[in-house]
Amino acid sequence: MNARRVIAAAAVVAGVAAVTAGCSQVDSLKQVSGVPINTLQIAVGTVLVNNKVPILVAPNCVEVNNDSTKFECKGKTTTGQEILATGTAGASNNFTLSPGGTPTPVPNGTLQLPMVVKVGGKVIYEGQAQAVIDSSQGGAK
Amino acid sequence: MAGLSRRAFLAASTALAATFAVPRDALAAVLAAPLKPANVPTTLQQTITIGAPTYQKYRTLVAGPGEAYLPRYDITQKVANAARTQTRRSLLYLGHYTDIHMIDAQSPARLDAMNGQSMSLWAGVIRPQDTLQMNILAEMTRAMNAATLSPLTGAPMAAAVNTGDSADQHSTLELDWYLGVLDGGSFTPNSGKAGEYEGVQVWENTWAWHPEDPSNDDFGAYGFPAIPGLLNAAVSQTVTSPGLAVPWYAVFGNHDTLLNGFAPIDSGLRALATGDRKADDWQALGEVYLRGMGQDGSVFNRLTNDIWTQQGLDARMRHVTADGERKLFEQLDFISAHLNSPATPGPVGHGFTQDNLTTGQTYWAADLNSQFRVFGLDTCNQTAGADGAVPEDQFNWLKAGLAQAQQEKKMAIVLSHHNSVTLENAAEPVIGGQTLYHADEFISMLREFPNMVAWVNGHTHINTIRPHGDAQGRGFWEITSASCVDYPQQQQLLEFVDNRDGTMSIFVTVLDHAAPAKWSKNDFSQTGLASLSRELSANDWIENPPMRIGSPLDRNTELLLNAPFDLSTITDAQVEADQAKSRARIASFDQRQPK
Repeated sequence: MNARRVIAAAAVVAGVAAVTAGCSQVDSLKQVSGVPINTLQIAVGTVLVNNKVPILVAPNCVEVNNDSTKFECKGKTTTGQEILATGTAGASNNFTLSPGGTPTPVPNGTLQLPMVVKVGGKVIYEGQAQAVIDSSQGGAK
Repeated sequence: MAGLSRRAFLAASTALAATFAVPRDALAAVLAAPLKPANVPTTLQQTITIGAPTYQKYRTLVAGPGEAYLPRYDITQKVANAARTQTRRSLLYLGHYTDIHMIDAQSPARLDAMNGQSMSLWAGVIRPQDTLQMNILAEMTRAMNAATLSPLTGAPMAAAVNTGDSADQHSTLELDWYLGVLDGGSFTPNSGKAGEYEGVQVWENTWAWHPEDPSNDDFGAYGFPAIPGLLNAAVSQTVTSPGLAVPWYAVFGNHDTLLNGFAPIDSGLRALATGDRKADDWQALGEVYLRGMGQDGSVFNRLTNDIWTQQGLDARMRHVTADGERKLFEQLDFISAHLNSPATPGPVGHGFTQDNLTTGQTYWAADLNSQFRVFGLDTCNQTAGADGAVPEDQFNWLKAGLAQAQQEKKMAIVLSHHNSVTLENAAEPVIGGQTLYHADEFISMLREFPNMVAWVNGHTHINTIRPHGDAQGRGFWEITSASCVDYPQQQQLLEFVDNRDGTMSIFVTVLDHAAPAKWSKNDFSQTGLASLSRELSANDWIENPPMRIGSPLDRNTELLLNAPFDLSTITDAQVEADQAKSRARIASFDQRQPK
């Protein structure tokens, strides 16, 4: 990006900020919400079904202490055992895809989200949430 | 039809034959046949999964085993009575579309060039399969029509519902195409120059897939193939849809409300949409947008004009063939377009009525049969942002409507675009806003009504099922479908069943569109391009394709509820009368199809 382009980019961003600053609209200008918590919820459900856990109440994942990177999911089996899953969304890594070598931010698909799933206190899965989702759809990406 | 007397049966057959223009004797034979599970292609029989990489990271798709229904007891909190499978009767069977995202891929007002600024931030402004979206909707409609008899009970589909995001970038063409495919007809998914694609997938950049030669773009690096001739074939073909066999109902999505679902539309974009200039550069596109916000002669307008000139942004606009039909529509245009729909499959307005057009009210209610009332909400924020909320006037209208339905002993289904994790948009207009209700308050209100059984929605493009129960075992199910545009390009069948044991069940069946799992090289037929679209969507590395299919708990499921009232008060004769009407309508549709 040359200097002229940087100036133009800055002007565009500054313009948008100037028009919308201080308004409730600013908060709304983000992507559709819920990616990490959805990822965790799906991975936990997949682990439980793959392990043939008899589910009475499927774990519902919620943020812990309003922290949008820490999640906890609680449920119950038909035999009264507690289902507990926890997960923490990490920062995305960078990687290079462009032939020209431009670093591209990691897309949602490679979200770092380690999780632990326990049934009746026993760990039945510990690892990345994304790995569970990938393996349920034909192996690692 | 054991519930109807012989006299009532003959009267019903005669009346329905006249209403739907089918031979009486043939219809009587159809109605006399007992319901039995239909052998129809759904994910109960076969699924589609992502196969091994074929080049670099690019994968093709393969057929997988079917998935049986998983029972979910989250709300009743007790394991269901096994005998229910012998006693249940179907009360309502529906199709569910959402996030259709019909796309005019060549419109100058598309935000596709923003991908050059950040692929992650602007995910969804352009997808590799953008030119093939009409194929998807036509093939999904074929799949829906193939499943007009329930795979669980054989009950006839009474209606389909569409929970929004029908036109991807607010184009009148997109709106017309989506309505046309669901109502039936033949269309060419092209605008601008006849037979030739003009747009970012043939212009020099690294951020879009170039099917002619992807060797210099990020998608080629990932392993996307070269498919010469694809784009021109896509915009030259005629896509034919039989239209839905059943009446269908629609609500607003955020893409039907704001540009790309989150941004207000200004004069710069309106002019761009119908003009002969298209940006192939994100700064130029951003400047067009900013310039459209300013009034002529204002300081802001002079500033943006200066930037435009000094940065040479004019040179970053390409010439394309202008097309006035790409006009960006207004909110009331969306309603009037639905009201211009034909009587078949109907209903005219697809939920919207002339009253909506007159008053500007963007939500509605309708009875799907004698037992179920559906409330079609507009949870979209008119001001800004992709996510949603429920304004106070609509919140109060729904609350009163649910109370009325309960008094009439009708079960309630709420339709909205947004779901419970995305109902938190707080953006208000600078002047004249009203209180916005968000997920927690909305769910609490819905739970006040025992007759409220299902909240059906979309938005996140992920198959998701959530219970909203209380300690007494009461509550409702929230059912969110994946989209037509992102992998896995799936929609749903929903069946509401009385178990005749004090409980009812909602069966969710995930539906793939009718195109095969595997694309055959150089198959540019309507079905072939739909197969290719699904394959491309499975490789859209900006997104998270395998996540969007959800967990098994979000797919083929039986969702148990305690009955909202004594369901034995609904007679078999009432149920059969509703079903007879739906069966006659489907027989009429079948009769009209070419043999």
